[in-house]
Amino acid sequence: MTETDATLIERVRRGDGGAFDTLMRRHMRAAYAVALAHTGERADAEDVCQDAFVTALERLDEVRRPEAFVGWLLQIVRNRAHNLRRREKVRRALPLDAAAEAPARGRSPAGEAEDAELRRRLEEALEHLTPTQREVVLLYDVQGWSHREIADAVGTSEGAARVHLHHARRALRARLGPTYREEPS
Amino acid sequence: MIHEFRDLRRLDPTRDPERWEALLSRTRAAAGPELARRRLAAGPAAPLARWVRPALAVAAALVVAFGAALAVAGERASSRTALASEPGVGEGMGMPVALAGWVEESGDARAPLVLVPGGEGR
Repeated sequence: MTETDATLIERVRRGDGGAFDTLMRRHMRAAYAVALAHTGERADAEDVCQDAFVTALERLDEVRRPEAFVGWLLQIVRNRAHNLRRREKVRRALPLDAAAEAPARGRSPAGEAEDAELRRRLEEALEHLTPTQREVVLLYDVQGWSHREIADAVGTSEGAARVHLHHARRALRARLGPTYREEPS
Repeated sequence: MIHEFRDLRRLDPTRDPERWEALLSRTRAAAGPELARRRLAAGPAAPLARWVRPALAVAAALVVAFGAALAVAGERASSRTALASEPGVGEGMGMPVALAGWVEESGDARAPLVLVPGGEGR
């Protein structure tokens, strides 16, 4: 039987590493989607996720509603991403070169280059969306979340989440053309 | 190249399992110290751990207070010794030590005069 977040949180509060692992595996992808929506870059999104999970662990006693843990976690992710972007703006003027990222293993160099190119195009198109639109479209298309789950995580209504998704997809279609295939909403 | 372009799933981090597991592993490692702290706080030694710090603080305060009291007492004792070693009025006037002691202890300011030839007693 799948343990609820509330049960896992209770165990993590007592220092249970296994429970932390389960909680992390359950929510890391969503955290990553939100982090990517705000940083626009894989390595930064990963740093933000790691940082956010450790911060969440340190502040776990502040969780009043364990059933709303994921929304609370994603707010930490947004804050961390925002802080990172602010620091990065000061530190570097040039965007990170996507080609410098570690390539996926087990693929041909041509395949890796192609994948990197497509990812770059997607990330570039996403840059033209608002942060909330990016979050919604990534949580929907990458994570496969429902409108209800997205609304809870983003802190909006289900209808507003649908509207954000609609606008996000329209903007992506405009940027990427007919090759953009979307999940039915 | 573009005809193979599909959807946002290309951004799914789990498409690169090795990199994904590395992220999970890094996060787990970074969380280690906090998890260990929580284990200690929740373990059987927790009540003891809760008492250790206040007990140490009280012990430290007692040591400081005791030390301060000793220092003050020592200072007083040394000043008393210094006073005792200083020549008194009687000795200053050339009286024998025993007599000078009586003069000092009597506390009567006129006592030396009683003993001095040509003093008040004359």
